[in-house]
Amino acid sequence: MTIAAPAQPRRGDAVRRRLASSPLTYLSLSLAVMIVVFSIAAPQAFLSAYNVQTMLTVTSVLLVMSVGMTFVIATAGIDLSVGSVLVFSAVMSLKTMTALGGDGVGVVLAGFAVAALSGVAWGALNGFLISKARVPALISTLGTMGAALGIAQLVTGGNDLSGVPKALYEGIGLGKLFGVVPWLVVIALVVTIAGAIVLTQTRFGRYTLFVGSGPEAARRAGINVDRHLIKVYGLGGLLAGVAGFLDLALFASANIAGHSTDNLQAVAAVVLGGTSLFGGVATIAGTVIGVFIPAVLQNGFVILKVQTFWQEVAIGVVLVLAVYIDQFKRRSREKS
Amino acid sequence: MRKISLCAPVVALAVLTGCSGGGEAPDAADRPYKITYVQGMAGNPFFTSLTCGAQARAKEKGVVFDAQGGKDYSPQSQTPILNGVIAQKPDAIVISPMAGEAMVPALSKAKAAGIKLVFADSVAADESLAVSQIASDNQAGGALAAKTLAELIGDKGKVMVMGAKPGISTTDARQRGFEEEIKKHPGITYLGSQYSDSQPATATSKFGAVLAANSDLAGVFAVSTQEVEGVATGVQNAEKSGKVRIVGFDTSDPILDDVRNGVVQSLVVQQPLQMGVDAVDQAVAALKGESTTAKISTPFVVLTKDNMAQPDIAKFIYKTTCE
Repeated sequence: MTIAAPAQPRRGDAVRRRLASSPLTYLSLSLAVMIVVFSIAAPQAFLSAYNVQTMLTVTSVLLVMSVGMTFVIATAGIDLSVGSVLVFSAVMSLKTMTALGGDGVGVVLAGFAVAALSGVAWGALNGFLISKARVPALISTLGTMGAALGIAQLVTGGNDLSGVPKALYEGIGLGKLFGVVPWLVVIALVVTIAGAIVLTQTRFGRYTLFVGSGPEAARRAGINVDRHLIKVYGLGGLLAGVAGFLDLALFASANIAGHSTDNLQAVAAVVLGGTSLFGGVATIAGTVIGVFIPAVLQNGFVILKVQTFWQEVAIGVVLVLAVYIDQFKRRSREKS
Repeated sequence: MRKISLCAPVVALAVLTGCSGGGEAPDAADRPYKITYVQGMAGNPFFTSLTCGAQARAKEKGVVFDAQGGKDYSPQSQTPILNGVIAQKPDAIVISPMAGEAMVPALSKAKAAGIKLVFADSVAADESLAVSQIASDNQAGGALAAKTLAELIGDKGKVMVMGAKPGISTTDARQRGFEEEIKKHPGITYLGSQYSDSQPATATSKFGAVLAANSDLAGVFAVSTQEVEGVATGVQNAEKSGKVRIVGFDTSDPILDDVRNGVVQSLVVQQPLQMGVDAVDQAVAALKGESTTAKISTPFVVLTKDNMAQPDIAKFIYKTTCE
């Protein structure tokens, strides 16, 4: 959602200015610089097919979750429950597939349906609590974060589950399209493009940004804000559920304790991508970059043997710096 | 009457909790002893197994037994649980305390209230608080992992450690033990450690980066279940099953699958069931005024694809529920 630059006498100038004033330009540039630096420093390791595939595959799960989070934050909301909803959906999905037994496509599809439905259910509950019960998003989703994980722990006794059908983890988790692009990456890409189209090209997307810029104005314009919020949180939950299913495929297990920081990673990616925490401004492309900046940094630092504690420091500094530059550019743009 | 009032709310609270029937106490004069086990955390196969061992032994000895644990492995979760247990005034508390000073105040309160303490699996900073300490030496376990990995890779090549979070005493000790032992193998190059932050996805991506930089990586020591699950996924993604050897620590269902499929070669396994048995024995001895053993060290077992089905090894696989 870049605001068009004021009309300029010459067309080329306008395009240049528009590009220069877009926060996405600077973020993409930062990411490109990182990729170039790491590629020069360790070309054989960083650019190896294996490294690129692994980095993309592991990041896919977070990306799917972050696309949902983009919509939620675009409404000036937040969803802290995504990591727990991911675990809940993965557990329910795996329990269903184990109960059905066998290794067929039907079993995997049933597992997917259960994961998606579990996610939608928690998301819709979040939306209901926020819009109808008027519990602030921070608190509602903090509550469902505990509840969803708690139920997953009750169901499993806190133990990681095995028994993911081979069709799922060998086909999707380890499989590659044309033997090159991991299926998880393809799925994440499809979700991301769909998210971008929905946000920019549909009424649902316009309403989301409208509600985010001012719920009262949206209400007066005739938008059913409550219903729209339930839909948006439902979408966030749906994508957390889908992420849970992808996580099953990737790890061939339902891991209970390993998703406690997913929510903050998703929020950080979305905000780093230029989506405003105050709502009304959001881009999916920004979120993609926001997901990959920390992932690329971590990968590059490990390859370059940066001491492990320094990695944390450096990633923290770069995150804050990237958002600072973004804010700085945005302010100077608004002044001009 | 007291027995029921102690047991019932606990049953309602936690699925895991075992409340044994108690039975007749052959030795106690008027009422059976009450022993409560405070777990390192709830819902973890290691602590569940320790609970099972203690529960079975308590039943044999006619001791009233129950167990409780916090939601994660931290003093913030364990302190309120321990305080709640002290308030119920059991005769003895078996506890897997958080290491360091954090639990010492609450443990001192228990001792002052006349409750006998037994440490199982880990020890708190003030060792004089407990009548007995039962633990496996995690540093020795790490050294055993190093020897196992060295053997798997023919004593040459590059190895790394996938650590959990810096500052957890048990996993830190495993890593230390591994590093000291691996130095004694001149053919092996140690690439250092990465930390997963206890997130399998982070373990996968960091392992992937190390492998990208060292395509001839020969082996990985993964310090606990989260790291084993993450590294195993990375090895499978790289289609390097059996080429990059993984030695893990502890067991879980997904990891046992990885061992069966040849992705993970060896697991260093502790004996939590035995710890539970020993802990109850020591607690009862202390309550009767008999002599106790100050320190008991339980040994490790190395589980592999070839031996995991043997009954004498299979019995060490951690339990997710007591039968």
